[in-house]
Amino acid sequence: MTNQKIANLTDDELVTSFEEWARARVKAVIGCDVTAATRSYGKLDAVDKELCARGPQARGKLLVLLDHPELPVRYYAAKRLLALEPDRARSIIEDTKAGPFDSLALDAGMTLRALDEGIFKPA
Amino acid sequence: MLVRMVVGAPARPTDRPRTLVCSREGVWLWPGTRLTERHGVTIGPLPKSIIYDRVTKLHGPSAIYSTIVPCVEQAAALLSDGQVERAQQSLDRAGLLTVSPDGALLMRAVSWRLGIVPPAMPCGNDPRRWTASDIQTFAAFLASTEHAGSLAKLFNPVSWDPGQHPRWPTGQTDGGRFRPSDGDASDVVPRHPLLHLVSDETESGIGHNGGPPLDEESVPKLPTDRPPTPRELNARGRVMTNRLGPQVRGGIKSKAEALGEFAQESGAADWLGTQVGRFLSQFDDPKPLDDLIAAEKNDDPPRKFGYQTHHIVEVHRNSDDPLANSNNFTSDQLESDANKVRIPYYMHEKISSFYSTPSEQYAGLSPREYLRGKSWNEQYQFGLKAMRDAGALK
Repeated sequence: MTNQKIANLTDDELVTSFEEWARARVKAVIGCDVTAATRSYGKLDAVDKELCARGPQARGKLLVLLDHPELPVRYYAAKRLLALEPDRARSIIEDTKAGPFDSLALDAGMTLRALDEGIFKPA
Repeated sequence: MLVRMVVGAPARPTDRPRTLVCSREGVWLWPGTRLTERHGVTIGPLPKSIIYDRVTKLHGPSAIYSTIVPCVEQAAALLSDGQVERAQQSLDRAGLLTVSPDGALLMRAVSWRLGIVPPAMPCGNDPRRWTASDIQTFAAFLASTEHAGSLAKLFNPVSWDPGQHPRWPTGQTDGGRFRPSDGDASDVVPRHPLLHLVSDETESGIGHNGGPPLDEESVPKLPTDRPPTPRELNARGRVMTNRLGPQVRGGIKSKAEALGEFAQESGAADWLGTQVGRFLSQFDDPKPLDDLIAAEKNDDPPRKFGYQTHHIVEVHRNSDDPLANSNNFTSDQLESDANKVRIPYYMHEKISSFYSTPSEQYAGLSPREYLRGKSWNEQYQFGLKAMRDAGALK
Protein backbone atom coordinates (compact mmCIF):
# COMPACT_ATOMS: atom_id res chain seq x y z
CA MET A 1 0.00 0.00 0.00
CA THR A 2 1.82 3.10 -1.23
CA ASN A 3 1.31 6.61 0.08
CA GLN A 4 -0.57 7.37 -3.15
CA LYS A 5 -2.97 4.52 -2.43
CA ILE A 6 -3.37 5.65 1.17
CA ALA A 7 -4.28 9.11 0.00
CA ASN A 8 -7.02 7.62 -2.17
CA LEU A 9 -8.68 5.73 0.68
CA THR A 10 -11.71 7.07 2.50
CA ASP A 11 -11.51 7.70 6.26
CA ASP A 12 -13.40 4.51 7.00
CA GLU A 13 -11.16 2.52 4.68
CA LEU A 14 -8.16 3.95 6.51
CA VAL A 15 -9.60 2.77 9.81
CA THR A 16 -10.10 -0.70 8.32
CA SER A 17 -6.55 -0.60 7.01
CA PHE A 18 -5.26 0.36 10.48
CA GLU A 19 -7.13 -2.59 11.96
CA GLU A 20 -5.57 -4.98 9.43
CA TRP A 21 -2.04 -3.67 9.92
CA ALA A 22 -2.46 -3.80 13.71
CA ARG A 23 -3.25 -7.51 13.36
CA ALA A 24 -0.23 -7.98 11.11
CA ARG A 25 1.98 -6.13 13.57
CA VAL A 26 1.03 -8.15 16.62
CA LYS A 27 1.57 -11.35 14.66
CA ALA A 28 5.04 -10.16 13.71
CA VAL A 29 5.88 -8.98 17.24
CA ILE A 30 4.80 -12.23 18.86
CA GLY A 31 6.74 -14.18 16.23
CA CYS A 32 9.83 -11.98 16.81
CA ASP A 33 9.79 -11.18 13.06
CA VAL A 34 11.57 -7.84 13.13
CA THR A 35 11.27 -7.21 9.38
CA ALA A 36 7.51 -7.74 9.34
CA ALA A 37 7.06 -5.80 12.58
CA THR A 38 9.01 -2.85 11.18
CA ARG A 39 6.99 -2.93 7.96
CA SER A 40 3.66 -3.03 9.76
CA TYR A 41 4.77 -0.23 12.09
CA GLY A 42 5.49 1.86 8.98
CA LYS A 43 2.04 1.11 7.56
CA LEU A 44 0.26 2.02 10.79
CA ASP A 45 2.29 5.20 10.99
CA ALA A 46 1.40 6.13 7.40
CA VAL A 47 -2.32 5.55 8.01
CA ASP A 48 -2.24 7.56 11.23
CA LYS A 49 -0.37 10.42 9.56
CA GLU A 50 -2.89 10.48 6.70
CA LEU A 51 -5.80 10.67 9.14
CA CYS A 52 -4.00 13.42 11.08
CA ALA A 53 -3.48 15.33 7.87
CA ARG A 54 -7.22 15.18 7.17
CA GLY A 55 -8.00 16.88 10.48
CA PRO A 56 -9.31 16.05 13.94
CA GLN A 57 -12.62 14.67 12.71
CA ALA A 58 -10.91 12.15 10.45
CA ARG A 59 -8.46 11.09 13.11
CA GLY A 60 -11.28 10.77 15.60
CA LYS A 61 -12.63 7.92 13.50
CA LEU A 62 -9.83 5.77 14.92
CA LEU A 63 -11.51 6.04 18.32
CA VAL A 64 -13.87 3.27 17.33
CA LEU A 65 -10.88 0.90 17.52
CA LEU A 66 -10.55 1.51 21.28
CA ASP A 67 -13.61 -0.71 21.59
CA HIS A 68 -12.34 -3.35 19.18
CA PRO A 69 -12.85 -6.91 20.49
CA GLU A 70 -9.17 -7.78 19.86
CA LEU A 71 -6.76 -6.46 22.50
CA PRO A 72 -3.81 -5.96 20.09
CA VAL A 73 -5.95 -3.76 17.80
CA ARG A 74 -7.14 -1.74 20.80
CA TYR A 75 -3.52 -1.48 21.99
CA TYR A 76 -2.03 -0.11 18.77
CA ALA A 77 -4.95 2.31 18.40
CA ALA A 78 -4.49 3.42 22.01
CA LYS A 79 -0.82 4.24 21.42
CA ARG A 80 -1.93 6.56 18.61
CA LEU A 81 -4.83 8.13 20.51
CA LEU A 82 -3.19 9.03 23.81
CA ALA A 83 -3.47 12.71 22.99
CA LEU A 84 -7.18 12.45 22.16
CA GLU A 85 -8.36 10.04 24.88
CA PRO A 86 -5.54 9.89 27.43
CA ASP A 87 -7.35 8.01 30.21
CA ARG A 88 -9.03 5.39 28.05
CA ALA A 89 -5.90 4.89 25.99
CA ARG A 90 -3.66 4.52 29.03
CA SER A 91 -6.09 2.07 30.58
CA ILE A 92 -5.89 -0.10 27.46
CA ILE A 93 -2.09 0.04 27.53
CA GLU A 94 -2.15 -1.01 31.18
CA ASP A 95 -4.48 -3.89 30.31
CA THR A 96 -2.05 -4.95 27.59
CA LYS A 97 0.86 -4.90 30.03
CA ALA A 98 -1.05 -7.30 32.27
CA GLY A 99 -2.46 -9.27 29.33
CA PRO A 100 -1.71 -12.62 27.79
CA PHE A 101 0.60 -11.50 24.98
CA ASP A 102 4.14 -11.58 26.43
CA SER A 103 5.78 -9.58 23.68
CA LEU A 104 3.05 -6.94 23.71
CA ALA A 105 3.30 -6.79 27.50
CA LEU A 106 6.98 -5.87 27.18
CA ASP A 107 6.18 -3.09 24.68
CA ALA A 108 3.24 -1.89 26.76
CA GLY A 109 5.34 -1.77 29.91
CA MET A 110 8.03 0.24 28.16
CA THR A 111 5.38 2.55 26.67
CA LEU A 112 4.05 3.35 30.13
CA ARG A 113 7.55 4.00 31.41
CA ALA A 114 8.26 6.27 28.44
CA LEU A 115 5.04 8.19 29.14
CA ASP A 116 5.79 8.57 32.84
CA GLU A 117 9.38 9.65 32.18
CA GLY A 118 8.35 12.18 29.56
CA ILE A 119 10.16 10.38 26.75
CA PHE A 120 6.89 9.73 24.93
CA LYS A 121 4.94 12.90 24.27
CA PRO A 122 1.72 11.94 22.46
CA ALA A 123 0.58 14.36 19.80
CA MET B 1 -2.26 -62.18 48.94
CA LEU B 2 0.40 -59.69 49.80
CA VAL B 3 -1.16 -59.06 53.18
CA ARG B 4 -1.22 -62.78 53.92
CA MET B 5 2.44 -62.92 53.03
CA VAL B 6 3.06 -60.01 55.39
CA VAL B 7 1.12 -61.60 58.19
CA GLY B 8 3.03 -64.82 57.67
CA ALA B 9 6.43 -63.16 57.88
CA PRO B 10 8.31 -63.46 61.16
CA ALA B 11 7.92 -60.53 63.53
CA ARG B 12 11.03 -58.85 64.93
CA PRO B 13 11.75 -58.89 68.63
CA THR B 14 9.96 -56.02 70.31
CA ASP B 15 13.06 -54.55 71.92
CA ARG B 16 15.04 -54.19 68.68
CA PRO B 17 15.91 -50.76 67.28
CA ARG B 18 13.70 -49.93 64.33
CA THR B 19 12.93 -47.12 61.89
CA LEU B 20 9.17 -47.76 61.81
CA VAL B 21 7.01 -47.41 64.88
CA CYS B 22 3.41 -46.74 65.68
CA SER B 23 1.62 -44.82 68.38
CA ARG B 24 -2.06 -44.25 68.90
CA GLU B 25 -1.70 -41.29 66.51
CA GLY B 26 -0.38 -43.28 63.58
CA VAL B 27 2.66 -44.83 61.89
CA TRP B 28 5.96 -43.01 62.02
CA LEU B 29 9.27 -43.25 60.24
CA TRP B 30 12.37 -42.25 62.21
CA PRO B 31 12.80 -39.64 63.62
CA GLY B 32 9.14 -38.55 63.46
CA THR B 33 7.88 -38.49 59.88
CA ARG B 34 4.25 -39.44 59.41
CA LEU B 35 3.29 -42.33 57.12
CA THR B 36 -0.41 -42.14 58.02
CA GLU B 37 -2.98 -39.46 58.61
CA ARG B 38 -5.96 -39.30 60.90
CA HIS B 39 -9.49 -38.68 59.60
CA GLY B 40 -11.65 -38.39 62.69
CA VAL B 41 -11.48 -41.75 64.43
CA THR B 42 -9.96 -43.50 61.42
CA ILE B 43 -6.27 -43.67 60.60
CA GLY B 44 -5.37 -44.12 56.94
CA PRO B 45 -2.08 -44.55 55.08
CA LEU B 46 -0.58 -41.67 53.11
CA PRO B 47 -0.42 -42.20 49.32
CA LYS B 48 1.96 -44.97 48.25
CA SER B 49 4.25 -42.53 46.43
CA ILE B 50 4.76 -40.51 49.61
CA ILE B 51 5.41 -43.62 51.70
CA TYR B 52 7.97 -44.87 49.19
CA ASP B 53 9.59 -41.45 48.92
CA ARG B 54 9.99 -41.19 52.68
CA VAL B 55 11.03 -44.76 53.38
CA THR B 56 13.61 -44.92 50.59
CA LYS B 57 15.34 -41.91 52.11
CA LEU B 58 16.54 -44.14 54.95
CA HIS B 59 16.38 -47.59 53.42
CA GLY B 60 17.45 -46.91 49.84
CA PRO B 61 15.67 -47.58 46.55
CA SER B 62 15.40 -51.31 47.27
CA ALA B 63 12.77 -50.48 49.89
CA ILE B 64 10.20 -50.30 47.13
CA TYR B 65 10.53 -54.08 46.83
CA SER B 66 9.68 -54.52 50.51
CA THR B 67 6.17 -54.98 51.84
CA ILE B 68 6.17 -51.55 53.43
CA VAL B 69 2.96 -50.28 51.85
CA PRO B 70 0.67 -53.22 52.76
CA CYS B 71 2.24 -53.29 56.22
CA VAL B 72 1.50 -49.60 56.77
CA GLU B 73 -2.03 -50.11 55.42
CA GLN B 74 -2.57 -53.00 57.79
CA ALA B 75 -1.04 -51.12 60.72
CA ALA B 76 -3.28 -48.13 60.00
CA ALA B 77 -6.35 -50.38 60.04
CA LEU B 78 -5.26 -51.96 63.33
CA LEU B 79 -4.58 -48.55 64.87
CA SER B 80 -8.07 -47.44 63.89
CA ASP B 81 -9.24 -50.40 66.03
CA GLY B 82 -6.98 -49.31 68.87
CA GLN B 83 -4.66 -52.34 68.45
CA VAL B 84 -1.30 -50.60 68.80
CA GLU B 85 0.74 -53.69 69.65
CA ARG B 86 -0.54 -55.66 66.68
CA ALA B 87 0.02 -52.66 64.45
CA GLN B 88 3.66 -52.54 65.53
CA GLN B 89 3.99 -56.26 64.82
CA SER B 90 2.70 -55.60 61.33
CA LEU B 91 5.29 -52.89 60.78
CA ASP B 92 8.04 -55.16 62.07
CA ARG B 93 7.23 -57.58 59.24
CA ALA B 94 7.85 -54.97 56.54
CA GLY B 95 11.29 -56.39 55.80
CA LEU B 96 13.19 -53.15 56.32
CA LEU B 97 16.11 -54.70 58.15
CA THR B 98 18.95 -52.48 56.93
CA VAL B 99 19.44 -48.81 56.16
CA SER B 100 21.26 -47.70 53.02
CA PRO B 101 24.66 -46.00 53.25
CA ASP B 102 23.03 -42.71 52.22
CA GLY B 103 20.31 -43.36 54.79
CA ALA B 104 22.89 -43.97 57.51
CA LEU B 105 24.62 -40.69 56.72
CA LEU B 106 21.28 -38.95 56.67
CA MET B 107 20.47 -40.42 60.08
CA ARG B 108 23.77 -39.14 61.40
CA ALA B 109 23.04 -35.65 60.07
CA VAL B 110 19.53 -35.68 61.55
CA SER B 111 20.84 -37.04 64.87
CA TRP B 112 23.36 -34.27 65.05
CA ARG B 113 20.68 -31.67 64.46
CA LEU B 114 18.33 -33.17 67.07
CA GLY B 115 20.99 -34.29 69.55
CA ILE B 116 19.76 -37.89 69.61
CA VAL B 117 21.21 -41.31 68.88
CA PRO B 118 19.77 -43.03 65.81
CA PRO B 119 18.44 -46.60 66.07
CA ALA B 120 21.36 -49.02 65.65
CA MET B 121 20.36 -50.83 62.48
CA PRO B 122 22.73 -52.64 60.13
CA CYS B 123 23.85 -50.78 57.03
CA GLY B 124 23.48 -52.26 53.53
CA ASN B 125 26.01 -51.91 50.75
CA ASP B 126 23.97 -50.07 48.09
CA PRO B 127 25.95 -47.57 46.00
CA ARG B 128 26.04 -43.97 47.24
CA ARG B 129 23.74 -41.63 45.29
CA TRP B 130 23.62 -38.41 47.26
CA THR B 131 26.06 -35.58 47.72
CA ALA B 132 26.78 -34.05 51.11
CA SER B 133 24.53 -31.19 50.07
CA ASP B 134 21.67 -33.61 49.31
CA ILE B 135 22.05 -35.14 52.75
CA GLN B 136 22.01 -31.79 54.51
CA THR B 137 18.90 -30.77 52.57
CA PHE B 138 17.01 -33.94 53.51
CA ALA B 139 18.31 -33.74 57.08
CA ALA B 140 16.88 -30.25 57.50
CA PHE B 141 13.50 -31.58 56.44
CA LEU B 142 13.55 -34.67 58.66
CA ALA B 143 14.84 -32.77 61.68
CA SER B 144 11.97 -30.29 61.47
CA THR B 145 9.57 -32.79 63.03
CA GLU B 146 8.06 -31.98 66.39
CA HIS B 147 7.51 -35.62 67.27
CA ALA B 148 11.07 -36.89 67.55
CA GLY B 149 11.06 -36.41 71.32
CA SER B 150 7.93 -38.38 72.09
CA LEU B 151 8.86 -41.20 69.69
CA ALA B 152 12.60 -41.60 70.38
CA LYS B 153 12.18 -44.36 72.95
CA LEU B 154 9.96 -46.35 70.59
CA PHE B 155 12.59 -46.27 67.87
CA ASN B 156 15.43 -47.18 70.20
CA PRO B 157 13.91 -49.19 73.08
CA VAL B 158 17.07 -50.95 74.35
CA SER B 159 19.72 -48.31 74.17
CA TRP B 160 17.49 -45.52 75.38
CA ASP B 161 19.38 -43.57 77.99
CA PRO B 162 17.77 -40.29 79.06
CA GLY B 163 21.21 -38.99 79.95
CA GLN B 164 22.20 -39.16 76.30
CA HIS B 165 19.11 -37.22 75.23
CA PRO B 166 19.03 -33.94 77.13
CA ARG B 167 16.04 -31.71 76.50
CA TRP B 168 15.44 -27.97 76.72
CA PRO B 169 13.78 -27.15 80.04
CA THR B 170 10.02 -26.71 80.17
CA GLY B 171 9.00 -23.09 79.79
CA GLN B 172 11.58 -22.25 77.13
CA THR B 173 10.66 -21.76 73.49
CA ASP B 174 11.73 -25.31 72.65
CA GLY B 175 10.79 -26.65 76.04
CA GLY B 176 10.62 -30.43 76.08
CA ARG B 177 12.34 -30.82 72.69
CA PHE B 178 15.79 -32.36 72.43
CA ARG B 179 18.83 -30.16 72.64
CA PRO B 180 22.38 -31.09 71.61
CA SER B 181 24.19 -32.90 74.37
CA ASP B 182 26.59 -30.94 76.53
CA GLY B 183 29.77 -30.22 74.69
CA ASP B 184 30.10 -31.05 71.00
CA ALA B 185 27.05 -32.92 69.73
CA SER B 186 29.36 -34.94 67.52
CA ASP B 187 30.52 -36.85 70.57
CA VAL B 188 27.04 -38.35 70.82
CA VAL B 189 26.71 -39.37 67.21
CA PRO B 190 29.95 -41.29 66.58
CA ARG B 191 29.04 -43.77 69.30
CA HIS B 192 26.59 -45.27 66.87
CA PRO B 193 28.06 -48.41 65.25
CA LEU B 194 26.51 -48.03 61.80
CA LEU B 195 28.34 -44.76 61.27
CA HIS B 196 31.60 -46.63 60.95
CA LEU B 197 30.25 -48.77 58.14
CA VAL B 198 29.93 -46.08 55.51
CA SER B 199 32.32 -43.69 53.86
CA ASP B 200 32.45 -40.08 54.89
CA GLU B 201 29.55 -37.98 53.66
CA THR B 202 31.84 -35.54 51.89
CA GLU B 203 32.66 -38.24 49.37
CA SER B 204 31.42 -37.54 45.86
CA GLY B 205 28.06 -38.93 44.84
CA ILE B 206 26.09 -38.71 41.64
CA GLY B 207 25.72 -35.12 40.66
CA HIS B 208 28.56 -33.99 42.89
CA ASN B 209 30.83 -31.41 41.33
CA GLY B 210 33.76 -33.71 41.85
CA GLY B 211 32.44 -35.94 39.07
CA PRO B 212 30.10 -38.87 38.74
CA PRO B 213 30.87 -42.15 40.50
CA LEU B 214 31.64 -45.34 38.65
CA ASP B 215 28.08 -46.64 38.34
CA GLU B 216 27.13 -43.66 36.19
CA GLU B 217 30.32 -43.88 34.17
CA SER B 218 29.63 -47.51 33.46
CA VAL B 219 26.42 -46.69 31.58
CA PRO B 220 27.32 -45.85 27.97
CA LYS B 221 26.46 -42.43 26.59
CA LEU B 222 23.75 -42.51 23.95
CA PRO B 223 25.05 -43.17 20.44
CA THR B 224 25.26 -40.18 18.11
CA ASP B 225 25.57 -42.13 14.87
CA ARG B 226 22.25 -43.98 15.05
CA PRO B 227 18.96 -43.88 16.96
CA PRO B 228 19.39 -45.34 20.46
CA THR B 229 17.65 -48.58 21.34
CA PRO B 230 14.94 -48.55 24.03
CA ARG B 231 17.39 -50.44 26.27
CA GLU B 232 20.04 -47.76 25.85
CA LEU B 233 17.49 -45.01 26.45
CA ASN B 234 16.22 -46.70 29.60
CA ALA B 235 19.72 -47.24 30.97
CA ARG B 236 20.57 -43.58 30.45
CA GLY B 237 17.17 -42.56 31.80
CA ARG B 238 17.82 -44.43 35.03
CA VAL B 239 21.19 -42.75 35.46
CA MET B 240 19.64 -39.34 34.90
CA THR B 241 16.80 -40.08 37.29
CA ASN B 242 19.23 -41.14 39.99
CA ARG B 243 21.24 -37.99 39.53
CA LEU B 244 18.44 -35.47 39.11
CA GLY B 245 15.81 -36.92 41.48
CA PRO B 246 17.57 -35.94 44.71
CA GLN B 247 18.48 -32.53 43.28
CA VAL B 248 14.83 -31.80 42.48
CA ARG B 249 13.51 -33.16 45.76
CA GLY B 250 16.18 -31.20 47.62
CA GLY B 251 15.19 -27.96 45.91
CA ILE B 252 18.55 -27.64 44.15
CA LYS B 253 16.96 -27.77 40.69
CA SER B 254 13.48 -26.91 39.51
CA LYS B 255 11.49 -29.62 37.76
CA ALA B 256 11.77 -27.56 34.57
CA GLU B 257 15.57 -27.47 34.78
CA ALA B 258 15.70 -31.19 35.50
CA LEU B 259 13.37 -32.03 32.64
CA GLY B 260 15.38 -29.88 30.24
CA GLU B 261 18.58 -31.59 31.35
CA PHE B 262 16.95 -34.99 31.15
CA ALA B 263 15.59 -34.32 27.67
CA GLN B 264 18.95 -32.98 26.55
CA GLU B 265 20.83 -36.08 27.65
CA SER B 266 18.33 -38.84 27.16
CA GLY B 267 16.30 -37.47 24.25
CA ALA B 268 16.55 -39.25 20.91
CA ALA B 269 17.98 -36.12 19.30
CA ASP B 270 19.77 -33.00 20.50
CA TRP B 271 17.20 -30.71 18.94
CA LEU B 272 14.47 -32.16 21.11
CA GLY B 273 16.38 -31.52 24.32
CA THR B 274 17.24 -28.02 23.18
CA GLN B 275 13.65 -27.21 22.32
CA VAL B 276 12.29 -28.70 25.53
CA GLY B 277 14.81 -26.66 27.52
CA ARG B 278 13.89 -23.46 25.70
CA PHE B 279 10.22 -24.14 26.19
CA LEU B 280 10.51 -24.87 29.90
CA SER B 281 12.89 -22.06 30.78
CA GLN B 282 10.24 -19.61 29.61
CA PHE B 283 8.21 -20.53 32.70
CA ASP B 284 10.92 -19.43 35.13
CA ASP B 285 9.78 -16.83 37.62
CA PRO B 286 11.48 -13.42 37.44
CA LYS B 287 14.76 -13.53 39.38
CA PRO B 288 16.80 -10.90 41.26
CA LEU B 289 19.57 -9.27 39.25
CA ASP B 290 22.28 -10.83 41.42
CA ASP B 291 20.93 -14.31 40.66
CA LEU B 292 20.87 -13.66 36.91
CA ILE B 293 24.44 -12.33 37.01
CA ALA B 294 25.60 -15.29 39.13
CA ALA B 295 23.91 -17.73 36.74
CA GLU B 296 25.88 -16.27 33.83
CA LYS B 297 29.12 -16.23 35.79
CA ASN B 298 28.75 -19.83 36.95
CA ASP B 299 27.30 -21.12 33.69
CA ASP B 300 24.39 -22.54 35.68
CA PRO B 301 21.93 -23.19 34.18
CA PRO B 302 23.96 -23.97 31.05
CA ARG B 303 23.09 -22.16 27.84
CA LYS B 304 22.26 -25.42 26.11
CA PHE B 305 19.40 -26.08 28.52
CA GLY B 306 17.29 -23.20 27.24
CA TYR B 307 19.14 -20.08 28.36
CA GLN B 308 21.21 -17.35 26.72
CA THR B 309 23.66 -14.67 27.71
CA HIS B 310 22.10 -11.22 27.59
CA HIS B 311 24.06 -7.96 27.69
CA ILE B 312 22.12 -5.35 29.65
CA VAL B 313 23.92 -2.62 27.69
CA GLU B 314 24.08 -3.88 24.12
CA VAL B 315 27.49 -4.49 22.56
CA HIS B 316 26.95 -3.52 18.86
CA ARG B 317 29.86 -5.63 17.67
CA ASN B 318 31.79 -4.70 14.50
CA SER B 319 29.80 -1.54 13.92
CA ASP B 320 31.26 1.35 11.89
CA ASP B 321 28.89 3.76 13.59
CA PRO B 322 30.96 6.02 15.87
CA LEU B 323 28.03 6.07 18.31
CA ALA B 324 27.88 2.28 18.56
CA ASN B 325 28.49 1.00 22.08
CA SER B 326 31.52 -1.03 21.00
CA ASN B 327 33.10 2.28 19.90
CA ASN B 328 32.10 4.21 23.01
CA PHE B 329 32.57 1.79 25.88
CA THR B 330 35.50 -0.48 26.63
CA SER B 331 35.16 -4.21 26.14
CA ASP B 332 35.90 -4.54 29.88
CA GLN B 333 32.73 -2.56 30.57
CA LEU B 334 30.63 -4.35 28.01
CA GLU B 335 31.84 -7.82 29.04
CA SER B 336 31.86 -7.09 32.79
CA ASP B 337 29.98 -9.41 35.16
CA ALA B 338 27.54 -6.63 35.99
CA ASN B 339 26.54 -6.28 32.34
CA LYS B 340 25.95 -9.96 31.58
CA VAL B 341 23.02 -12.04 32.76
CA ARG B 342 21.74 -15.54 31.99
CA ILE B 343 18.06 -15.41 31.00
CA PRO B 344 15.60 -17.81 29.35
CA TYR B 345 16.10 -18.19 25.61
CA TYR B 346 12.73 -16.88 24.46
CA MET B 347 12.85 -13.91 26.84
CA HIS B 348 16.21 -12.99 25.34
CA GLU B 349 14.78 -13.29 21.85
CA LYS B 350 11.80 -11.15 22.84
CA ILE B 351 14.01 -8.39 24.29
CA SER B 352 16.31 -8.45 21.24
CA SER B 353 13.33 -8.11 18.89
CA PHE B 354 11.95 -5.28 20.98
CA TYR B 355 15.28 -3.43 20.73
CA SER B 356 15.21 -3.84 16.95
CA THR B 357 11.65 -2.74 16.21
CA PRO B 358 10.51 0.89 15.84
CA SER B 359 7.96 2.07 18.40
CA GLU B 360 5.64 5.01 18.86
CA GLN B 361 7.13 5.83 22.26
CA TYR B 362 10.55 6.54 20.75
CA ALA B 363 9.18 8.71 17.92
CA GLY B 364 9.41 5.93 15.40
CA LEU B 365 12.92 4.86 16.36
CA SER B 366 13.77 1.41 17.60
CA PRO B 367 15.00 1.30 21.20
CA ARG B 368 18.46 0.47 19.82
CA GLU B 369 18.42 3.64 17.71
CA TYR B 370 16.93 5.66 20.54
CA LEU B 371 19.69 4.59 22.95
CA ARG B 372 22.55 5.17 20.52
CA GLY B 373 25.03 7.66 21.99
CA LYS B 374 23.33 7.72 25.40
CA SER B 375 25.34 7.31 28.62
CA TRP B 376 26.22 3.94 30.14
CA ASN B 377 23.95 4.55 33.10
CA GLU B 378 20.99 5.54 30.94
CA GLN B 379 21.38 2.47 28.75
CA TYR B 380 21.89 0.20 31.78
CA GLN B 381 18.73 1.46 33.51
CA PHE B 382 16.79 1.11 30.26
CA GLY B 383 18.07 -2.47 29.94
CA LEU B 384 16.93 -3.34 33.46
CA LYS B 385 13.46 -1.96 32.77
CA ALA B 386 13.17 -3.99 29.58
CA MET B 387 14.21 -7.13 31.48
CA ARG B 388 11.57 -6.42 34.13
CA ASP B 389 8.82 -5.89 31.58
CA ALA B 390 9.92 -9.04 29.75
CA GLY B 391 9.48 -11.05 32.95
CA ALA B 392 13.14 -11.98 33.41
CA LEU B 393 14.04 -9.63 36.27
CA LYS B 394 12.26 -9.34 39.60
